[in-house]
Amino acid sequence: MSLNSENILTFVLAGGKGSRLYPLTRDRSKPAVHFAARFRIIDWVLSSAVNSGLRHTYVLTQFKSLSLEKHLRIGWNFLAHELGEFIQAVPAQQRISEQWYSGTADAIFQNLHLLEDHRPDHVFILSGDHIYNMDFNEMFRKHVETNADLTLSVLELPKTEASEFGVLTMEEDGRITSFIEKPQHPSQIPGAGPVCHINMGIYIFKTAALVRELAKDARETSAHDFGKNIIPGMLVDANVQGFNFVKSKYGQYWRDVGTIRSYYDANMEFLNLRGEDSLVKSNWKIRGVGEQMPSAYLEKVEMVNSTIGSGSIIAPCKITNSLIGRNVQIGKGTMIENSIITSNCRIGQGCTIKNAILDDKVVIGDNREIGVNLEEEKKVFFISDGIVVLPKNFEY
Amino acid sequence: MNQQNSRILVIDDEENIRELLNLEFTDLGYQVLMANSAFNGLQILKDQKVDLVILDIKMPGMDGIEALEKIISTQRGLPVIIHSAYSHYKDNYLTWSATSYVVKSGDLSELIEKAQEILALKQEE
Repeated sequence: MSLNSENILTFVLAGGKGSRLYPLTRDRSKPAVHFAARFRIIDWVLSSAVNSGLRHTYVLTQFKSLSLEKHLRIGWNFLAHELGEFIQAVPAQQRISEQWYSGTADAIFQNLHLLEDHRPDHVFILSGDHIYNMDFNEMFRKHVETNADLTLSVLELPKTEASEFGVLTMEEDGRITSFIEKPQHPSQIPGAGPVCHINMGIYIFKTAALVRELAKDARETSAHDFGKNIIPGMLVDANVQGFNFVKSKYGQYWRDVGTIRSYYDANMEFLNLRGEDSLVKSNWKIRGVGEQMPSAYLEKVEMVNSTIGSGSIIAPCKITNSLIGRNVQIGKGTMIENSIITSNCRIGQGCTIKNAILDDKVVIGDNREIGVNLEEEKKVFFISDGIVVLPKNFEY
Repeated sequence: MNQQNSRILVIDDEENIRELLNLEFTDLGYQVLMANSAFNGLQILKDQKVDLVILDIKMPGMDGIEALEKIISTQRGLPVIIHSAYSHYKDNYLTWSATSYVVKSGDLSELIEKAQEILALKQEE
C-alpha cells in the first residue's frame, strides 16, 4: 500500500497565531517560525507528508500568512504538477463566511469546495504546529484495516502536561471510548501510572464521514473545532480509532513548541542530539530551505557543542551550546552561550550573548551585552522565562 | 408562537413552483415569503425573520449551493430544505449541510412533511 497511489487529499492546518510564541510570531504565523536556526516548524510535517507519499496537499493559512506563503512557494514548490501533485497554500478566502475561521473544523468546512473538486476517498488533516517525524503509511494502514470513520494519532504524556490537550481513553483494540478537550482532571491510561493519552491533531477521515460531521457541525452554534465538537460528537455512532504514535517507526520524538520556553528547550534538545539523531535521519530527510551558500568560514573559533550554518563568517570568538544559522556574521572577541542565532544575523565585536533567541536579521553592534543582566535588560528586551528574545530585524 | 405562525421563505426562479408552494403552505396556516432569485432571497433574510428556507438549486445567477453557503455562514441554525428537480446534487458535498433534500415532484406531501417536522423540532428548541 502506498499513499501516493491512494485517492487521498491532505490539509495542513497552518493558521495558528502562536500567541504564546510572541515575539517570534509578531510577523508570522506559528508554522512559519524558524526551528533549529535553519528550518521552519512547518518543514517537519511537510517532510513527513512528502516522505510518506502524500502529494496532494493544501496548506490552510490565515493570520500573518505572507511569510509562510513565501516559504512554501520558494521551498516547497517542487512536486510534479504534471502528475497532479501539489503543495498549495490556501489563504482564508472568506469564500463562505465573512468571518475568519472560527475553529479547526470551520477551516475545513470553509474549504469544502476543494473536497468537491478532488473527491478523495480519505482526507488527512495535519497540524503544522509540531516537531515530529511520522510515516503516515503506518497510520493509514490501521485506518483501512479497522474500517475507521476517523483515525487519530495518539501520544502518551505525563498527566501534569495533559490538560493542555484533548485527552482520550481507548480500548485495547484502539477504539476510542471517550474524548475531552483540555480537561481539568485528565483520565489516566489504566495501569500505566500518571500518564494520559492525548490527541496529536493528526487525523485521517473517510471523506463521507468528514463531510457529514462538518455539515452537521456547521448548522450548530459551536466552537467548530475538531477537539471540542467533531471528535466527541462522533464517538456516539462512528468508528473512531486511535493510532499509537509511540509504537510507530519514528514515535520517539514529538514536541509542541507552543511557548518560548518549550521552543527554546526543543531547539537545545536538537543541538544535544550530537549526531545520534532521532530527528533528521538519512532515510527520512527534513527539507529545509535556504539559498545555496559557501561553507561557513571560521577564522579561529573556540566552539563547544554548537552548529553553524553555511555562508556564515565567524571571527575569532567563543561559541558554546548554541545554534548558529546561515549567513550569520560574528565579530572578534564575542562570546555566545546557550543561544539560538537565526539566519542572517549580524553580531559585532566584543559582545556577550547568553540564553537568547535572535530571530532573523537581528543586528547587534559592538560590545553589547544580552542575557547578562536581566533586571536591566527587561527595560529594553522581551524576556520570557529567563530567555531574551530579539524579534526579526531588531537592532541594538 | 404556534407552528402555523412560522415564516417560510421560498427561493425559486420558477414562478409556478413559488405560487404552488405559496398556496399549499398558506392553506396550512404558514406565512410564506417568496424570492425569485438567490440574491433576492438573501436580501429578505437580511431584513426579515424567517424560520425555514425552501431553496431551489438550479437558478440563473447565484445558484442554490452558493446561497446555501451564505445562509449557513450568516444564519447558523436556520433550517434549509433543498428543493431541486435533480437528485444528483445530493452528491455535491456542499449540499450535505442543508437540513434536508427533497426532489421536486407533483406530489408535495414529502416536502410538507419535512417542513412540518423541521418546524416542530425548531419550536421544541
